[in-house]
Amino acid sequence: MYKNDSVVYSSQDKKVNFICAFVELWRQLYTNRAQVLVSIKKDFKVKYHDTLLGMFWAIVIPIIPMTAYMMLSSIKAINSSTDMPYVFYIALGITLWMFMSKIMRESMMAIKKEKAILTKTNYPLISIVFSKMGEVLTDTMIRIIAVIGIMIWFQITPDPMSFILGLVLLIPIFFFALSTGMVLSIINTIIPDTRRLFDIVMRYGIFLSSVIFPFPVEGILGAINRFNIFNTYINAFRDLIYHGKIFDLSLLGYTIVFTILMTFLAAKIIHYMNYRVRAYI
Amino acid sequence: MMDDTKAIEIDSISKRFSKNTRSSRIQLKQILFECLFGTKTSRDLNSGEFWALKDLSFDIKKNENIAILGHNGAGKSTLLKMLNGIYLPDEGEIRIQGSMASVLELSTGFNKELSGLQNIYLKCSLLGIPKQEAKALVKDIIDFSELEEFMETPLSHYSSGMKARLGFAIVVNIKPDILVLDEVFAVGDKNFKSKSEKAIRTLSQNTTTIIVSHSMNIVQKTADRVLVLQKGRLVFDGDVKEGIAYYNAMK
Repeated sequence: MYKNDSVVYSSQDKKVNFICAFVELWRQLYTNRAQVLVSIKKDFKVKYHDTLLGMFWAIVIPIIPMTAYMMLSSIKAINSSTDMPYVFYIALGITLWMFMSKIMRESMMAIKKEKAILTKTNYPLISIVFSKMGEVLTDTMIRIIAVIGIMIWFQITPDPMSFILGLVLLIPIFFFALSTGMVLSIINTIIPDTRRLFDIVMRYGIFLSSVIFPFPVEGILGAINRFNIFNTYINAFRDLIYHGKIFDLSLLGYTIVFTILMTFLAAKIIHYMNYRVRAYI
Repeated sequence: MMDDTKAIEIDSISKRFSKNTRSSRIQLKQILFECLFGTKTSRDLNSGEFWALKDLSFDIKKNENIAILGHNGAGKSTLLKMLNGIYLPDEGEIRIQGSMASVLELSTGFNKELSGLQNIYLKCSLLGIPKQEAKALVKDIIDFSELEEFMETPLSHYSSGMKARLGFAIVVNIKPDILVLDEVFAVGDKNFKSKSEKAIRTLSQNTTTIIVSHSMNIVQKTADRVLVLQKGRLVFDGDVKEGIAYYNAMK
């Protein structure tokens, strides 16, 4: 690894607070932005590199989960009574769910998958995590294009302010997924069952998070599900785009506060563990 | 503050490692607790741990060429990784003055699906070299590697020797103040080896080089000082011939 500055590596703890850790991670990311972009481009280039249909797969594969649930709904296998066109409901739900779950998974697996890079170069962990975001972003873009097509078809026109607020809401959604994934990546090195538990939680989670059908808000389950951050973000985003307002603003507020705390905690952990974790993975 | 004549100062560094996965996980858990709750990790070894390096101290002057010798498990690669900032010391401090490039494995960072040319850019990017600088180096790298006709071929069709040649060509064409190389000389055929040794000798005239090699021939030709490590401790620091003799006499 090439470095231009004079440096000191010390056993003495550099105690940094949560905010400094967050700023330092962004500085590392900015310093390595060119490498991150090269890695993202590389992943995209090689993904369907040796297939006959190439780009066709890049477009079709991300849309498959949407069409699968739409098909289940058309044969009445799932409850599709929603206060908005069901195709739109499910397309937006799946887009947000896949966005969050893929970011979490890629971040969580970054240490295990990129062990060779981590133990042979001093490329920062945060840059490795962001290098893995290329696929998530391209898949999400393709799904968003599909959602826009559905909105045109059903003549759903969000007002400009709701649309802008929706885009802003994607920021805490991104940070919630990223910070959870990064904390899990460290826990996964200590308890390797973490990845399997995560897979199980996500398999059930999709049915509890109003992704493919509305989850009941009444009863004990409904009360417990108020703590389901996926559910809160997906409902808030969908309501904002379709109805132009968020019905449970205080719940969204608490969820955003939790996301901010989680982001700073993740930043502190990743900043501290960055070069300490490498000797033991 | 570091003396201007020095490239590297190593001050009483130690590094512990785990012997098994269980011990690694315990150590990781302790580091996480240290981060979250400020609990201090014990300075003593826990069960399942050993000192990969212990109380190492030495300085390296600018443009000095160092060879590190030692049997397997002596701590050579760990030391190089610590110089590179990949591992932090558990005790002590390392101070480095100047730009540093290190190659601990020639093929790290290569992607087999990409062509030779794309891999040059990828590897340069991983080494922190900006695209414009990498562009300026491409011709020299291709010429040195003698792989011009394979530049558009995916790396999956390269032999291991070809991959190593490409990796080595990148290494000798980036010109940092300090160059750290871990066993990357046994590359290619006889002609390529001799070309590589010559390139390293030329490079070492204006660069601080730190090499790890089991080839005494290379050590003799490139180094002007030898460090010998044994079980994580520095047991010899001095003249090349004496160092090689010391190493050869070690059991």
